[in-house]
Amino acid sequence: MAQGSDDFEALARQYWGAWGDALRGVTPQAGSGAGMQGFRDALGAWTNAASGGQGGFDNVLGHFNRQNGDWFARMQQVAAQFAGREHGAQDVAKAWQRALGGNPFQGLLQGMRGPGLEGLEQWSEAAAPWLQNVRNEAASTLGMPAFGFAREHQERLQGLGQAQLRWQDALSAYNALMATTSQDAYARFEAKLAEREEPGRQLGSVRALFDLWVDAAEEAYADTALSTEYRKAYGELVNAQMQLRASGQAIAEQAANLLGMPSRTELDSAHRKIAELERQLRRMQRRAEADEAMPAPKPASKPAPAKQTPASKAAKPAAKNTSARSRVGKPVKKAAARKPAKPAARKR
Amino acid sequence: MDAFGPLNITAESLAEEANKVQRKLEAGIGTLRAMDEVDFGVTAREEVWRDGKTVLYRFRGEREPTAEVPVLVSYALVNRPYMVDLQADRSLVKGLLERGEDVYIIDWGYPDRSDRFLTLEDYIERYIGGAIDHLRKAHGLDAVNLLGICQGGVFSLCYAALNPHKVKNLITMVTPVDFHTADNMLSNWNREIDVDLLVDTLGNIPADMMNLTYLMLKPWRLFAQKYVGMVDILDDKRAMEDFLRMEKWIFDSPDQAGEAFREFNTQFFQQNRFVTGGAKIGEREVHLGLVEMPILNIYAEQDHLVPPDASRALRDLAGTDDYTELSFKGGHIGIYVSGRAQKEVPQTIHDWLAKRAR
Repeated sequence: MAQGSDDFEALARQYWGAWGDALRGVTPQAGSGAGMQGFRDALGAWTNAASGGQGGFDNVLGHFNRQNGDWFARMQQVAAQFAGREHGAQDVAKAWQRALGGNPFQGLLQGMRGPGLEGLEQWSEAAAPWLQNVRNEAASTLGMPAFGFAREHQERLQGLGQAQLRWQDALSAYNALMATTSQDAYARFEAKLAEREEPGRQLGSVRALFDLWVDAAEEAYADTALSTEYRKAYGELVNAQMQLRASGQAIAEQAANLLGMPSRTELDSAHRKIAELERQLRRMQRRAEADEAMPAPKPASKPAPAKQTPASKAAKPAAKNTSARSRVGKPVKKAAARKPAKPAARKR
Repeated sequence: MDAFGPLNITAESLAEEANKVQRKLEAGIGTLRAMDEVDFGVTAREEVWRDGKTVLYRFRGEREPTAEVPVLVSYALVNRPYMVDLQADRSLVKGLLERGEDVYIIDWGYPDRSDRFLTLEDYIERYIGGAIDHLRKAHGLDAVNLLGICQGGVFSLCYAALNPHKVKNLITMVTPVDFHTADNMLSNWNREIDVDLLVDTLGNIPADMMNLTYLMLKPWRLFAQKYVGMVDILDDKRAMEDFLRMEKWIFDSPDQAGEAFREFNTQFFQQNRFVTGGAKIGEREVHLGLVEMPILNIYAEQDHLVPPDASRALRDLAGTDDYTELSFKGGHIGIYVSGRAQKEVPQTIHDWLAKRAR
């Protein structure tokens, strides 16, 4: 425990010391130890030291380390280039872009990994050499008909290859859209920086610079994420991933069958039967209870209609006077004449 | 010194900021090591009814309830019951109990693969219906109050439309009704997804996938800025405890039963059936025009998950004559846990119910 704390302190001293030296020379030099790796090392030691407490911290610290580790060092490096120097919004935006690269959204989203989400990516990475071979040499053969005793197995493998190619294409299209969004974010960032050039509105800290970037990036992302183009790209990404998973699962089930193991399909089939039986039983119980609870018809009650009313009042000719509605504490009765016909059985 | 551009940063201020971060990180080691297991879900409760993994709890406050009609809370399947009872100073439940309400909550549990074929009918008619029938019997009432939150609000609307005589007053919180408003990001993403392929492939929908989707609504704020900002509170044990409770709140999510997910996404996210008509729960069609009991609809003005217009659509679709709105200045999560929420939301609900107690 103490060792972890000591490691952090030593690495942090080294990191911040290097920063102090670098700042005295105005900007940190490459390989000075003040770069991102130095901060990552210090933060890694910090995470190890801090997680010596309760286990529930691990996820939080994991997120913290993954995300904070890079951002703070990058922010520092960019800001340091302009400390005490004349500069413009474009200079800062360009430096920021150089630090983050052409598609920071892709990097951010790739960092969004966690338990249960690695499977497909790990499998894809492991299968990458074979899949690249498929793309280069055999793409056109994946659609060819299969013959003979093992044709079903061959078709499943072909399906897997096709699914992988679809997934790669979908991922490329999605990343391309994110790259466009990234450029939009940089442009917005520069515009926001330009608004801060006048005295009194300048950014006084690395954190403020990062927060401004986040504002720009979120605005650009929101515009993209609400677009039809994103809807299609995201939908294709999810659908392609599911097809790939399904193709892999089908092959895995075959392998399990060979070993006499119960498959997911078999278990699902059993669960489906149980759920449906339970549902039917409960429907019968509800009907029986409703019949028992049904009071004798009263002369004054309205007759029940043969069918229920239309789907919603939006579909009815007499719309409500919405201006009659109110905020808290002031409910307003709707005009009785506007009310649609209601089935009598609804009120008790 | 003179300013030269958008950054008014000097070598000294940069070094000072860096030193401040280092001090925070150093202090954080001590803070985190000294912290006890963070508790959540603070109010005493007792199990009163159970069906499968679904459990109905009754909360016990420091005083006996004065309200004659109990309130049943139904929240989204992706959440846990303590979302409305996170800690002593952030608890909708506590606020309602202090005002004399008699509060119950459905715990949906954690579905496993054997629950894959649970449908919306199971969740709405079997579980909510079973809980409400239990309460009606236990309290000797024809109808009880129902408080639905987010997806639980959609469930509550469906239940109320199908069983209007069993719901005395309906409260919906951050509940989507019109799923196709232009600012609904989640809905936009759902439209082109092959939900059948998704559910057939995955079975239940993993909680991590759900949470990743929610994070992607605001990826820079929720996955980067939030943790960069965490440095500020590393030397504050109390603030870190609150932070960790919120992490638990957000990421402790059950997997989603596959068939219910299929039905919900298809009927609501893709087909917007409350508005277009034809929503079906089991064999029965849902008509919001049949929701005639009093409705209090609470929405959040900065809700990034359920845009206000998505909730406000209820005012034109519901059949009630007695419709009230509370527009809350906050977001989808702040409406449960912010300081403003503790002051406004329970009091509004209590006052509104009190006027409709008879």
